[in-house]
Parts: sequence; structure tokens; C-alpha cells
Amino acid sequence: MSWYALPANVPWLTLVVLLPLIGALLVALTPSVAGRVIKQLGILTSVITLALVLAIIGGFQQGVGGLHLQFEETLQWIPLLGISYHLGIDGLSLFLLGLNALLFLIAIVVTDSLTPRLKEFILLLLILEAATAGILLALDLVLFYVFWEAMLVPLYFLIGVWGEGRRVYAAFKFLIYTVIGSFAMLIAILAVAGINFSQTGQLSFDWTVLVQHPAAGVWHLPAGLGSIGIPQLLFVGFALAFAIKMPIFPLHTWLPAAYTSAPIPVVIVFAGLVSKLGAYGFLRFNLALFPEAAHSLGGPLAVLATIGILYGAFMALAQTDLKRLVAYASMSHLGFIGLGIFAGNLLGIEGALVQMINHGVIIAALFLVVGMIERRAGTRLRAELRGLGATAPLFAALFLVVSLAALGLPGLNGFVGEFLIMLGAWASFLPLAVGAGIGVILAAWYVLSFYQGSTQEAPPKPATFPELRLVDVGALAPLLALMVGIGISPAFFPAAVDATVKALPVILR
Amino acid sequence: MPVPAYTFLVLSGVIFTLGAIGFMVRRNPLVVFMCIELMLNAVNLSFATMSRYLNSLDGVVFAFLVITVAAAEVVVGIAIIVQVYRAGRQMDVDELDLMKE
Amino acid sequence: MDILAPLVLLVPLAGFLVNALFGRLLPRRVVGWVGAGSIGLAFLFALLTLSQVLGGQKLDQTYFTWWQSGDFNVPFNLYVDALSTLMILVITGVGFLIHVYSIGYMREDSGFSRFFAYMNLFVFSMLLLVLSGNLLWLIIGWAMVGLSSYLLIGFWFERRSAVLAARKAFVMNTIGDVGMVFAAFLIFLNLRVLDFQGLFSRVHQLPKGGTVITAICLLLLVGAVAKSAQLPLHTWLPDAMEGPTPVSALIHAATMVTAGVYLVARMHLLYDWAPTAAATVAVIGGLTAFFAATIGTSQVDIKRILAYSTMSQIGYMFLAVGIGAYTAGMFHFMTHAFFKALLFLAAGNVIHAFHDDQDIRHMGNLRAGLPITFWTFLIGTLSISGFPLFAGFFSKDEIIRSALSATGSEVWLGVLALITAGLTAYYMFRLFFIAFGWEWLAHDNRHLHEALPVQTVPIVILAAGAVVAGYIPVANFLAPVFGGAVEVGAGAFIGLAALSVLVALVGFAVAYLLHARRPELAVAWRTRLGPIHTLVEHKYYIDELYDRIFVRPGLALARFLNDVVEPRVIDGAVNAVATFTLLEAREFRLLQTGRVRSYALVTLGGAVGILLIVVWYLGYLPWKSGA
Repeated sequence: MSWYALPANVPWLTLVVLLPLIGALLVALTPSVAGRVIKQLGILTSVITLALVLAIIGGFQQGVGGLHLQFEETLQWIPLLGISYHLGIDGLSLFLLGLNALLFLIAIVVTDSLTPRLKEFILLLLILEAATAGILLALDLVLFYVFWEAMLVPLYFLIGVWGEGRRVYAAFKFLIYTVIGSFAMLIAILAVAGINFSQTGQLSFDWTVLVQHPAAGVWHLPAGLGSIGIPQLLFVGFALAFAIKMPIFPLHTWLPAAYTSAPIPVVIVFAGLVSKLGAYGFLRFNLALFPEAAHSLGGPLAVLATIGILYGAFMALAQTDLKRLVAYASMSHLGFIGLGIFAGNLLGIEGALVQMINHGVIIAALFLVVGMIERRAGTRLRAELRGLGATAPLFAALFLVVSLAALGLPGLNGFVGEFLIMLGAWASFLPLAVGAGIGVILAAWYVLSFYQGSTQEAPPKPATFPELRLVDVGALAPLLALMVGIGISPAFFPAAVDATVKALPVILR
Repeated sequence: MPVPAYTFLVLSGVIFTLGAIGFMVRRNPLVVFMCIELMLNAVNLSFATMSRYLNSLDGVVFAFLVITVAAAEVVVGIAIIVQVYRAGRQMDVDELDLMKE
Repeated sequence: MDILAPLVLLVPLAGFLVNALFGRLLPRRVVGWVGAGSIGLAFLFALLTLSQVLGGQKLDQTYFTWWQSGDFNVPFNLYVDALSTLMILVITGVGFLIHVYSIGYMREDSGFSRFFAYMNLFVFSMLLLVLSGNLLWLIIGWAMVGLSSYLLIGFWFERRSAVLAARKAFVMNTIGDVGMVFAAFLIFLNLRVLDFQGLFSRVHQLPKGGTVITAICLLLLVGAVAKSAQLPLHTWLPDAMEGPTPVSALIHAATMVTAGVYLVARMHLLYDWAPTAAATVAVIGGLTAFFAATIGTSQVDIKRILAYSTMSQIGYMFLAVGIGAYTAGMFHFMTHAFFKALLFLAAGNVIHAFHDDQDIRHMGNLRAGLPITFWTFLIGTLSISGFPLFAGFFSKDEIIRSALSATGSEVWLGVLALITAGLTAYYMFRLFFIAFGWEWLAHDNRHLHEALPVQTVPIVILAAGAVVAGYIPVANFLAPVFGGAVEVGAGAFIGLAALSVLVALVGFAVAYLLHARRPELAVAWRTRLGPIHTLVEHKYYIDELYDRIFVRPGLALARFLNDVVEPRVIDGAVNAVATFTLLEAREFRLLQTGRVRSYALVTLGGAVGILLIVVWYLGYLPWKSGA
């Protein structure tokens, strides 16, 4: 963070979106038989992208730039409609971009070289990486929408073709569910621009423009049905899309199916990153463009988030399939993030932001562990696993650290976010903070049941469980380092993010 | 006395109606096509009339477009009907329901 | 001192890292001495700190910032005063002796290096807890202590009972953690600080005895109760005896479980300001002391008896800090660390001698075979029972005296404490007579042999402490923190001392009678007290109660949500939408008749309809206006 200044005339952000696509193109041109080359190309692409993103993070200066956005790039696209190609990065998207690059690298590294149609798999992953990066960087609403929809296609195929179990059902459910939300968002996008046009005479889909003229007004329904505030209505439109994506209870039922069916590399980026995009959307659009609606509608949403925490925790207790258990654990943790966002105050939102990163790291590690168990033991059912720590102590040790981060042990990264979120929630909605506290206790219960049930007691089932290889440790290593590092010294985070969060209109009120 | 506009328009309407009724009533596909042509030409007549009486070329331009579309459509349509005939099916519009769900 | 304090912390951490990463590659001798040596080195640093503190120095040093946003500013700072110095001396001193003992005790265990790694991690965490200068880092240390406890209770993870005990301990500790976190929220939202310096200077801004300060203190108490195994969050402690005996000695006797006492003492300014909360602390302490003592009289597992004894003695400490006698509480903490660690380690020798049998009814007559263990255990028993001139007498007496000489309802707590003292003497001597016995008791155990010197020397040192520690002028040392000691008249002092000695003698006498002289009387009494005895023996069925109220309903709810709510209600709604859509689609399909003529009709009809609507809206009807 502001250790150096990057040269200004290079389109850094476009490069971040473009690099994976170039990699995808190269993969597409490689013959399918060269499996190892394809995987290496994929790794190379994501490594270069990660390096680029790290360079950007290093060169980010807090509090600089219009609306605290940096590395902005603007190109005209459809000037008649006020649509432009506008990219920018600020405190909200900075670290998420880093998470994006890291998780995709890990996902490609752990992709099994024996995957059928490896070429198409890596191709789709790279396209997905470009799409998610675009979502994080787009500052034009239509551009954002394009990337948002573009994300769906590779995900659908990744789940539907390479998944397991009821994969087509899962992929389909996910697709339709998401598209319903996106549709509501599309209408809201058009409405926002339209209202802005009627209020300022300027037709623009640019976030930087729209954020300065918050929508206002009331829509009087015909036939005497009363009136609805327009900001509230627009808020709901965007909220539907993001609430489905996160997901927020009760719009979550696509999640267990999708996470359980998807192959491990896909679920790593799915759970680790794609779910955060919903939370990011809430911050970028709902809280920034409709602050008063955020205050009035934040309460019910916070309640739903807290219900999600508890519901996810209880469901996790009841699962017999490890992957499904982690899916519900993910839902429970995302409830925390939602609670922080809707608390609507500085600490809650900062807590939610840091927890987005933390959750991505933790859940990716958890799914990696589940993948390791499945690959070595051939099963994911808790009843068939026991005492793996005896034959694979390194695995048990690393698994332990991941579990501790998942249950929010103070000293590791999960606690940082949970503390700030609950503090913010306590200030806004005390009973919900208490509910979240109960969620923490439940997390200790189900995480330990998960961990102990797999690694402890004797005799071990299955009898042979090979120890971790170097590549496994390598995939987990950056995640573990982040868990410990962010837990002990997270001060770099508010240092980078503070200015942006403080400037959010919802806080200024 | 110049011929009033409405005469042509009424003629156009009558021809169109004849074509529409024929399109709905007749069963032989070739006759149906002829009725379609009737409807299209009725519209052309209408366009030409308005163009003449409003001293504007817009109508005639539209008429050109319509003629072009009609020609293309006829080519494709007749080709399909000939294939249907050659496949041995009935030349009866009601029987040709292969696009049924 | 600003370098010394972090050194005390970092040396055990280094020991942990060395043994965790390389332990399996190094020879046992190195592992053991690295583990013990790091604590010993930390003890030396602690002594240096002591010399500086005695010279009047204090420390509140920030080393880096943890989070800074708005006025939420949490540093990593260390706070050294007399109280924390006392804590680190006991932790590293007693800890060192226990580590040395472990070199002998654990020598045949396959997880030798893992054990020492965990033990060092524990010491590091405990030091972090007592040295941290703000509430958030205290919570981090608190939780890491809980983690180390979990790891060590579940050390022999092949055993199901150990696995479950570890989980129970951890989940209960988490309840305490959440309480403390909530207290931190209240503190920050009302006083805008989390570090001790700022907190102590701003506490008086809150109304005395008001809701906010009382809530803060009660929430902190939740954490203390969970960590110190007081009622009602005590059920994890007896189960924690699944861990190796040195673990019980260090964590579940001398240090971790006393963290709750430290918390209240550290926050004494807050508790002084919230009398209701302080009273709650005292009541919980007094009740737990009595309650645990009663259970201790009925147990037959040597470690369990000691566990309940610990619970009871910590109850004394809570009682003390609850009534404001902070110095008395910390004094008892120190003496208790000595004699309880001693008792556990000696018990460890006995357990090893009997090849891991912990049932006292199989023991007895150990004087000839294990002489050192025998005599040191006796010293420990005398000390804990409050026999004059031993350390326990001084510290326990001070607590009872403070309670009895207080005004108001604290007096009956003092009476309770007195009765408990009698019970303590009784069950400890019962344990001694049954397990160690004298020549006249059964079981020919003369063939048993004493433990290694590396196990007996630490015990002897601890035994010396259990006698001598009573003479350390703790009150003067802690005066800068808590204020001067309360003066007591000589008459009251001797009167109360005599009373407590009398009570102890009564307990001793009953134990001697029932378990040394006339064992058949013990059996008779047990039958006469029938149901009461069963109740006490089963720990008042509290474990079963918690299982019924929390565990089973929780799992039932989880299954209900998973089997009913998720698939039928929520997903049912989702799938209903899909099914509905499909049904509608099926209906709409019927429109696709494949017949050109029906399409044509619809098209035409639609066109006419639109035309009519347009004409209607334009208001133009040919027969109305002119042609």
C-alpha cells in the first residue's frame, strides 16, 4: 500500500481482466492431448495475474483519487445511452481482487491432471476469472451487468459437466435462481439511470455519476394502494440479485446442491469468491446509491442474515456428507458478513470487508481439506471416516489450524472479522449480536465435531491414509499464512480501506 | 375531376380483406400463398396511393421493400411446398402439422 | 523492561515452534530439555522483571497496532505491574517444575515431542493472557489457553472419552469467550477504549452500580466462570482429567483455571464500581467451594478428587475477590499453585506405579515403596487442609477471616467457607488414608518402586513451597495494585485462626476414624445416606441435565431442520415454483397446434385488435369526422 507508485499510463485494470482471457485463448489453441502443458499454461496465466494484482495492491494509495478510486480507465462505449467502459479500484474491491487471483491460482493448481476434457475445464476457469475480476472492477452499471451475466456461463458448464451427483439439477437450479435475481437487478439498473436522467437531465450508467445524485422520490401506486419510496424499490431490485448470490436465508437452497455437486477446484472459487460478489454488490450499489433505503431496509436484512448464521450452523450439525457440511458452514459464515454490512456502521462494514477475505481463505482451505480426504479415503461420509490423524499427522495438524480459523479462534483471522461485525451489530441491533454470539458457540460445536470425528479416535477408518504431498501443502500454505498473519496483525486492512468505507454515504448520514 | 384518394384505399381494403379471408378459408397451400400475395399487393396499392396523394416518395420506398420481401418469401415458401408434395404428403394446410408440440 | 517483557513471552513460543516443527527429528533428551528449558529461561526473565518491579517500575508498552479505524484503536501492548509479575512468576516457576517432571513421566509416550510443544504453547498463551495490556489481546490469550487445554486434554486422541472431554471443555470455554467479547463491546461502546490504562482511568465516568457497569462485570464473569470451572460452567473440569497428569497439574490446577481469578483481580476497579456483580462473584465462589467439596467426598478416582478439590479452592479465590479481598485471593492462588501441583504430580507417580490405575480403592500402603511421594503428598494434604504453619493455613485463613469480618450478607459466605474447610480436610485425608494408607491398611504394595529423580525432585521443591509460601509478604507486594492490607486486631486473628484449625482437625478426625481405623463405619454411613450419597456421587446429575436441556434438543433441532424444513418447506417453495412453471408451460404448449390456419386466425385477430385500440386512442373513427 503506497510503497511505490505505478506508472499511470498503463491500463493495469484492463490487463487484469485481459490476462486470463489471453491465457484462455492460448489454452484453446493447445491440442487436448497435451494435458500437462495445458495445466501449466493455466498456472502460468494465473501466476502472472496474481503478480499483477499484488503489484496493484502494493501501489494503492489510501484516500487518493476521486471518490477514492484509483487506476481508473474510461472509454466511450455507447455514448448515446451513457454507457461507458469504466474500470476503477478502491477500498471495497482492492483485497477482493487479490483474493480472486489467489483462489483461481490455487484452484488450477489442485485441478486433477486426469480430469476428462481438461482443456475445456481450464479454459472455462480462466474465462470465469476474467469475468469475476471484471465484476469487481466495473464502475459502469451496464458493464457490471455484462460481467455479472458472463460469470454464469462458465459456472453453469463447470458444474453441469464436471460435477457429480445431481449435477445438472444443481447447475440448472443455480442458473435459474441467479437469473431471476439478475433480472430484477436489470430493471433496477435501467430505472436508476432513468430516474437520474429525469432528475438531472443527464443519461448515464456510470456509478461515479449516480452516486452523487442519490435517487429520491415516491411512486404513488394506482387504485389507491399507497405509495412506495423509489429508493426502497430500487434497493430491493439490486438486493434480490445480491441476496440470491450471497446467499441470504431463505434464498439459499441452490447452495447445498451446487457446492456439493461441483468439483473441488470449482467449489473453491465458487464458495471462496463468487459468494463474496453478492456482498460486494450490496456495498458497491445498495449502500452507496441508496443510503436512506439502506437504513430503513437494513434491519429486516440483518435479521435474515442472523437467521442464516444460526440456520446454517444447525444444518451443519446435522450433515453426514462432509462437503455438504462445509457448504452449510459457508452459509453460516456468510450470514456474519451480511450482518456486518447491514449494521450500517463503520466497524460493522469494515468487519464485513475483512471477513470477506477471511471467509474466502478459510472456506477454500476447508474445501481443499475435504477434497484431500475424498481423494485419499474415497468417501466423504462421516460414518466411514475416523482417526485419520494417526496415519497422517501433518494433515491433521494443518486441518486443525483451518478448523480453528473456521470457528473464529481469537488469534486467527476469523476472529478479526467476527469481532468487528458483532461489535457493529451490537451498536445497531443488539439482539442480533447476541444471536451471532450463539452462532459462534454453535460453530465451535460443529467444527470440532467435524474435525474430531475425522481425525481422532481409533482404529482409523480407512486403515491407510497417505500423508500430504508437497503440492497439497503448497496449496494450503498461502491460505494458512493468511489465517495466521491476518489474525495477528490485521492493521494493514483498515489502513487501506478506511477512507473508502468512511466515504460511503450510508455512514455519512 | 381528379380521382379521390379514398377510392384506391377502399379498393386496397377490399382486396386485403379478400386475401385475408381466402388465407383463412382455403386449404390448398398454393392458394393460401396466392392469398398472401393478394394481401401484400393490397398494401402496396395503399402505399402507392398515399405516396401519390401526399407527394412523398416514402410510400414508394416502402412498397419496394414489401415487394422484395414478398419475392423472397415466395421463393422459400414454394420450395417448401414442392418438397412437401414430393414427400408424398397431402396438399392440405390442416394436415401439415409437423411443428405441433 | 520493555524488552524483558516480550522476552518472557517469546521464549516459550520459541520452545513451542522448535518442538512442533522439529520435535520428531530430535532425540527425546533434547526435546524434553528444550521444552523445560524455555520455561526455565522465561522464569529467569520473570525474576529479572521482579527485581525491576520491586524497584517500583511499571510497564505499559505498545509494540504495534492491531487495528485502527476511527476511535477504535487496539494496540498490541504489554502491561507489567505487581499483579502480572506475581502471575508470571508462578506460571513460569511452577510450570518449569512441572515440565521437568514431565520429562520423566512422559518418557514412554509416543507423542513426547507433541506433548512438550503443546505445553510450551500453553505457557506462552497464559503469559500472553496475563501480560497483555488491553482486553482484546487478553481475549486472544484467553482463547489460546483454551486451545492448549483442548489439545492437552485430548492428547491421547485414540480414546473416545478424551476426545469428547476435550470438545466439551472447548465448547464451554467458547461460551465464556463470547461473554467476554460481549463485555468488550459494552466497554468500547460506552467508554471508547479497550486498553487497561484508558479503561481504568475512565471507569468512573459510568454511574456506579449502574446497568452498564454491572452488565460488563457480569459478562466478564461468564468468561471467568467458564475458564475457572465454577458453577454453572464447571462440568468440563472433572472430564479434563482425561489428559496426562502433568497437564492436570499445570493447567487444571495451578494456572489456567485461575485465569478467572486473575481477570476479576485485574478488573478490580470495575468490580469495585459494580457491587451487585462483585457480590455475584462471591456467591458463585462460595457455593462452588461448598458444592465441589461435597462431591469430593464421594469420588474414588484420585484425579477426580483432586479436580473437585481444585474447583473448591478456586471457589475460595472467587469468594475472596468477590468481597474485595483481592490480595487474599491472589495469596491463595499462589499457595494453591504450590500444593495443588504437588498433589497432582505426586498422584502421577502413584498412577504410574499402579500402571495407570486411578482407583484409590486399589491403592494403599505406599509408605515403604514410594517414600518421597508419600511424605510430599502428606505435606500437600496438610497444607490444603489448612493445618497451622503450612502455606494453605495462612492463605485460606485470610479469606475466611475477610469474609467473616465483613458486614452484611458476606458473613454467611464466611460460614460456608468455614464448613467447606472442614469438608476439605475430611476428603483430602480420606484420599490420603485410602490411597496412601499406613501400615495397618490392606494391600501389600511394598514391591512398588519410587519414581525417577527427575520426577521426585520437582515434587520436593513444590512441597517446600507448600510450606514456605505462606510466609511470603504478598500483601505488601501487591499493595501498589490493590491498596494496603486491612489491619486486623490480634484478638480477632487468633480467634478466627483457632476456629479454622478446629474445623480442620474435626475433618481430619472424621477421616481418620472412617477410613483408617474403622472402615466398616464408612460403609455403614454410606448405606444410611443412600440416596444422598448417590446424588453426590453422580455430581448432582448436572451433566445429565445439561445434556437434556442443550445437547439433545440442539441435535434434534438440527435434524428437524435438515429433514423437514429445508427439503419440504424452503426448497419445497422453490421447487413448487419450478413445478408450477412446468405445468403452465404444458398448458401453453397446447397453443402450438402446428396448424397454419389457427395461427393465421390468431394473427389476424390480434392485428384487428391492435388497430381498434389505436383508433380508439387516437379518437379517430372514420364515421365521426370528415373523410
